[in-house]
Amino acid sequence: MISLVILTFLGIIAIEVPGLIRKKYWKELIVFLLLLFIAFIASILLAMGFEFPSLIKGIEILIKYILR
Amino acid sequence: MNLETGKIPGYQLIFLIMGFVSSLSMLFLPTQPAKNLAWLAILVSIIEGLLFASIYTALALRFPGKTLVEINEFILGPLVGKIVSLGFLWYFLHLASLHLRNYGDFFTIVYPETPLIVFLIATIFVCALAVKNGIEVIARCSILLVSLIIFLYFFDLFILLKEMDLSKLLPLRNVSVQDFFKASNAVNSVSFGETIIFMMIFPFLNKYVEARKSLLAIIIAGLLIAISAARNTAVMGDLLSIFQYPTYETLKIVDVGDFLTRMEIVVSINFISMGFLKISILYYGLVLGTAQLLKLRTYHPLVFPFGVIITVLGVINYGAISELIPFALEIYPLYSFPFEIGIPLFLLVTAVVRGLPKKTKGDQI
Amino acid sequence: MNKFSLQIKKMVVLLLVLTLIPFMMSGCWNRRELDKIAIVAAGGIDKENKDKIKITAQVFKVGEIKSPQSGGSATGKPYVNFEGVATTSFEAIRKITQIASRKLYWSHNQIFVFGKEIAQEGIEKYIDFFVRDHETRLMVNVLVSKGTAHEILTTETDLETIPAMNINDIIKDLGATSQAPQITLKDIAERLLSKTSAAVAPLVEVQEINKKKHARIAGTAVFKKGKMVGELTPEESRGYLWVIGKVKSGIINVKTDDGTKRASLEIIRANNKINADIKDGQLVITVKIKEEGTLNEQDSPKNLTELPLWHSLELLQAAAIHREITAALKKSQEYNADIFGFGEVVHRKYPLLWKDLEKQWDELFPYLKVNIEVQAKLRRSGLITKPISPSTEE
Repeated sequence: MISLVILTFLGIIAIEVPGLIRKKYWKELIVFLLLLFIAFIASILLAMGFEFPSLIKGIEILIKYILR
Repeated sequence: MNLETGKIPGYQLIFLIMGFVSSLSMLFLPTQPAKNLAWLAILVSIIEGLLFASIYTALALRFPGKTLVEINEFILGPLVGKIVSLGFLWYFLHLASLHLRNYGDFFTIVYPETPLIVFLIATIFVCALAVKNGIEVIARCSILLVSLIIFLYFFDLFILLKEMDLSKLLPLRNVSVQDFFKASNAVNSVSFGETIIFMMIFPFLNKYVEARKSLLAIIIAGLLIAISAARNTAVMGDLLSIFQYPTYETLKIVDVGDFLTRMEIVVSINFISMGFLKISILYYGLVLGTAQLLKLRTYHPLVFPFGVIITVLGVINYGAISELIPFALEIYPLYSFPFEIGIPLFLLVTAVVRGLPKKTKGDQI
Repeated sequence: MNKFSLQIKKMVVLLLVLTLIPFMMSGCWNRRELDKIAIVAAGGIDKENKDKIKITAQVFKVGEIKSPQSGGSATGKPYVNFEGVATTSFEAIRKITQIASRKLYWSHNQIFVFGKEIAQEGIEKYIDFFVRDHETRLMVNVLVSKGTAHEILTTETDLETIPAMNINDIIKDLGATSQAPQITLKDIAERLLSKTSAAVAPLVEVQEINKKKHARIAGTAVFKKGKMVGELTPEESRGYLWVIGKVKSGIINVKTDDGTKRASLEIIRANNKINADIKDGQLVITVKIKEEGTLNEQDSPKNLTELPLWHSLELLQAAAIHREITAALKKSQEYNADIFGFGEVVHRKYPLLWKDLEKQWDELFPYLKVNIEVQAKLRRSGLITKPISPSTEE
């Protein structure tokens, strides 16, 4: 499962990075890598079976806190 | 610095909005409090939706060629504008993941032994390809898909005529005013209010005044949803309240001479195509907005990373589907309020009061 | 050169897509081939002992279904009944996989039979699974057996190959006599959700003809809050169907010539109208029936098509319908089961008042005043206008 995730990310890098380097889009490359890093951490955690808290529960708590 | 060179004609916008609004709404709407008056609640919500949409169009007409992110910066200044835009981008991201999850959940009911993540990945991959190809491609897809769905819609309506009992729509004074408006508010915020995403797409119209056509699209789509809600109630009656996917169950009833049965597959077709449109549009707005916010020269490299993030968020959105309906009814209208009406209204009022945009260097219009 | 490399690139992408497609097309995640599933044609549910139930699933034995041309060389019955005993429906169905070599497939289930004991105990806890599961259908025909469901599913069939099909076809033809309602799982579920309306289901019994057991429709089972509380005879069942407007066809027998002779009238069409009114603080239900029939058989030597006699025939027909409705109404008030859905009619007419009435409906319904107005017409007299007997006028 984890190796599948890593493979996917390598695939994404292989598709996007060469074009960006050739065009010298450095800013875009940085943003891309940053986003990819976040995505990678999240999906690896998910693949390892890390239990994330429910997102809509979090929003519910936040909304109730603001409106209180 | 043009991120998107594509242009879409006005009629394609109508199809896009129709597909966007009616996608999940035909399958699943938080109308439970309105009971048999779901259709009436939807009609009322169309009025609310038109109000919202006219604010979006007014803004779009005031700032032709500018997306929501650019308008934010123009009116609120670089810093505050960027923060507000960030909020919108989060909203789009979360919305895309919510719809993706909803989409996946439906398929896990039909195919209970397939893991959820398979549907999420398969869907987001197709959407990612569409987004990479730009708004023109999504708009052209919408013509094909929405036409198909409208054909199937009237076909369903026709074959269900036999099963309908219009007296199930009565009585009209069955629900309290409070419950009724709760339902219509929820419907508005999950279907019509989400057209705020089109603030990211209006600039790519051939003629910017055609943004007005979004009102027409909302009326058509709203009527279609309202009729489908009335149809479901007329067929299923009170039974509707226990089902998760009312339209799916309603079409299971179809039986024309032992030959035309099990039409629920039509719901799946509807869901596959409309869900694809909805997620693609949200996904597109998110990616384009991020690129504009960070002043990038292309949005293409952001597509896949965001796809992964949407998928992950889709999985962690909620544990069980039973959490979703109370959320859609109680929390979602509040959560979406600033994004769907609060901030756009504030932007419009500020722009009018300050007389923005000031026509300094020539007339752009 | 550049154009050439672009073409190669396109070729590579095309090849890649073509090689990927077969993987996508191999089928669903958990596909099941036709020879690996057991297609259930009928389900039955019986009480096994105090807290266990028995599910009977009738499965096609595909190899035994012979085409008529191949002659009667079939060695066994073309179906097999699997039984599973457990505390819940779902568990019982899963237990069948321990004795059957294939997994049951419920999507083509035609009928569902409740044993009498189960029906009297309450059906709602057992049908939950069948409404909830994605494989089962809502449009399956529901019946109640006078004995056990199992004995209904082992009856003999003559024209059809398996009992499930036989009973299903009998139910589809119920309209010819209109003496039992056709009820689907959806109807039952809808009634069970209602606080006041009571569910009904056709009643089926086993009848021995030439030492062969045959299934036969024997009226209507009446439920109250999911529990079977009584039965309607075939005549009372038609009385019920008149009120809800589901009479399609049928025969009304009336006595002519001062009760010495008979005439059979066929029902061609009928429609109903139920209205609720409050008169002098009292709730009154008005049932209006409009019916059209034809004279199809007579044994009287008189020419019944002549005007005064024809009118009296119409009146006799209306009286017969009135009698059937009154009988059904009396029975339902006796059982205190609102099978007609009068409560819903009141709900639609007086939604605000209904909030109070709904709570007292159990006390109100047995004494509810119901006006029955029947308007019956005769339109035709078949292909002959005079009886086949010498004219009596001379």
